[in-house]
Amino acid sequence: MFYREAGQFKTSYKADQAVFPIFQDRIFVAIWLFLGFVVVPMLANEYVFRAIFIPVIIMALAAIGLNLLVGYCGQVSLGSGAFMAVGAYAAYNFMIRIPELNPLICFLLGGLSATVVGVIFGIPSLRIKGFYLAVATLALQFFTDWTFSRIDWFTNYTPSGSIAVQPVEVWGFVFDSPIRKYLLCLTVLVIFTVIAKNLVRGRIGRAWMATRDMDVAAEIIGIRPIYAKLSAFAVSSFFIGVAGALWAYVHLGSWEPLAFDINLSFSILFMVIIGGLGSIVGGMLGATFITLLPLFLNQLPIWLGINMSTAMVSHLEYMIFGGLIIFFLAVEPLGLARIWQITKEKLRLWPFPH
Amino acid sequence: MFDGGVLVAKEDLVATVIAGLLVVTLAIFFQKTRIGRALRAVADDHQAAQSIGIPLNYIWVIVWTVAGLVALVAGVIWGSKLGVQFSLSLIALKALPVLILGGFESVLGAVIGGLIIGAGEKLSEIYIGPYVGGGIEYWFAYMLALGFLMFRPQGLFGEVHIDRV
Repeated sequence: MFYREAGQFKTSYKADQAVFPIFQDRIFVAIWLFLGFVVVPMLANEYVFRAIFIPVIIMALAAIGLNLLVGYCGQVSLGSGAFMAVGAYAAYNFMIRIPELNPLICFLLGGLSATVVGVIFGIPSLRIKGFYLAVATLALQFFTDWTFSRIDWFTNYTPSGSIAVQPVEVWGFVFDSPIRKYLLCLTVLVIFTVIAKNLVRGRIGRAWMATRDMDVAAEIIGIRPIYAKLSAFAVSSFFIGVAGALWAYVHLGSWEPLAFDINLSFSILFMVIIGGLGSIVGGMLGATFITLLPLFLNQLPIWLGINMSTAMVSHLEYMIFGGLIIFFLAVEPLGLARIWQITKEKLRLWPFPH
Repeated sequence: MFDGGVLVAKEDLVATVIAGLLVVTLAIFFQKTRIGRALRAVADDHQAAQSIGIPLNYIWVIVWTVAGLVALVAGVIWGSKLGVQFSLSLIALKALPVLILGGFESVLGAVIGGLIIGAGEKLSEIYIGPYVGGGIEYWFAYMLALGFLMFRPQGLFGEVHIDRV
């Protein structure tokens, strides 16, 4: 009753092509933006920003990036941790070697460096696909791990191999407090989400989806696989690279090569799969789920008043986490985004039966 | 030249014998038995296999059981030689380049792929490693598989797939 498009007529081409054609959806998004930009900064405390909001937002950006590649173009990649590492280390090197450069530009340059690496390691996708491609991207993951820990130039010859950075400063404005970091990340996420949403609605997104559904057929109707696949790799690794630069500079502050290991790649892939392949909102839901569930499981024994050793808690956390992932995928193979879609379908009739 | 001969640990010999026996058994199982043929049929085309009366659920149970058993044997051998720890799960990732180098659908491919990857990464570490700072066995296996796939996407002994629209 409340969520119904009856009576909303599209009278212009512009209205027909709107991202949110339904009025209630526009209100809903506006409420979320208001909550994100105004209400949360007023209510949340430092710990909540640091432990929950900032990681979730940056991971959502990475998951949206990987979703463009895996969900829209159908190229399975296990190299997202590597792309994040390339973004982070490239941003670091641009920043220390050209100090007068604006840090935001450095983040974008970090993303562009990840794009270059992504296109190079996307070339195998022209020959191989599916599981073979996933293993090929594993090569990138292990190679970057090794590169950033063995070649000292990238870490500016720091003796320990780990990097510590100053808070980001843009035109004299320092992003040092959690609330400022949060707003920076949220702004980046909103901008990139708009870009991603419009990319997948347009010509290039349709080319990706056609390639995903059947690459031979797509080739026959005139989509050049080399452009479709490599552009998906390029855009996706740009997103993930920017997310990596933010992760390093805004969330971690100081890090070592192991911060971007294979586990990070796996968890971003899990976010995309659990959130829902081929859905922008799915990337956000998946990132929230995968980031918050371990925190929640970790705190649960304390809330319930059960006395357990920390080792026991962390092992139980692994087991329950894995079990829940399997449970979710068995119940809803299409991910959280699908659950959200079903909810919206039900809402159209609620509270009436017909 | 080698007066004392070559030293071979007893565990290595036992491991080799077990692995050899397992390979032969698996090869016979996949190629000759009724169930093995059914497994390969399902791998080739689910629907076609089901339509000629192969029970899919039953096949899934067998596939996972066999996979688990083989991995169990590999894990026990590896664990008894190099110790059991959680990072064993990352070692198992090295099975993937072996698999794609040798090609799917081939037991012989897995053996030869394993030999190439295993020998390749140790030899590269000794002969190329010193020039680039060492530790290259960490990624060499994956890069080898990646380079190989560029020229032969189906692996050494895999079947060539032809796409039809």
